[in-house]
Amino acid sequence: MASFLFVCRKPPYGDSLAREVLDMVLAAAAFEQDVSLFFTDDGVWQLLKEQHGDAVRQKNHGSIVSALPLYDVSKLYVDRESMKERGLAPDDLVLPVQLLDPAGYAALVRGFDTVMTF
Amino acid sequence: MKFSIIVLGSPYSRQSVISAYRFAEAVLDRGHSLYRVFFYHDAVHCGSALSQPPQDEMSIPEHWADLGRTHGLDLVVCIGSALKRGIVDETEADRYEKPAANLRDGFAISGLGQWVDACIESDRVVTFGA
Repeated sequence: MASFLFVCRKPPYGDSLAREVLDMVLAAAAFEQDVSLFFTDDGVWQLLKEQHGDAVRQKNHGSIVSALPLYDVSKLYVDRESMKERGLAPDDLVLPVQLLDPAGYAALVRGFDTVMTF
Repeated sequence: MKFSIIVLGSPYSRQSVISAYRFAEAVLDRGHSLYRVFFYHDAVHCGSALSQPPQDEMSIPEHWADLGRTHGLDLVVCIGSALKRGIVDETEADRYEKPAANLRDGFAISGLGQWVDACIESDRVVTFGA
């Protein structure tokens, strides 16, 4: 078993990469790897409640994210500053997250076998 | 050291694809091993047999295929990303009754399990972004 950290910087819908990264997350979880996610920059938008992907003919990204704990993926971290810059609070998000400052992220990232940034 | 590389960008749209190729060359030149190159997202187009760049530009798919042949590399195109973008091998073309197959020789279509395996088996995994 290896530990994976996915650093998600892209918003959903405008670019399919955010969705395809979730496919990678689920694949790693399906192979019983230890998976954590860190959302920063525009990646924090992926966690927003009440998304309506169908309005742009897309699957609802928020629904996919909120199902992550069903696949044993529940270690979610978010950059505090990215949230503040975008006027978001933890209550606006679809799952419980741990807010991190840069020093907190630096400490977090050291502990993983594989870190992938998107 | 054992490396694996993940490529995400579209060839000819993103410089990162050429950066990935140059990095692969450097890894091999330095005597390290390259366990797998996994083409995901738009990078599946690197596996197209149909790409025809202008004469005075490098053929990115051909360069990857040649590097693969020379060094016995495992060049894997992700099936999920590939199918929706119209990169298919004979098996998938038959399965979905497509008029043609277009996967370049030297590439294999497979799933995200190959990427997970590459991350577990490699000392370093380097991602070249979209």
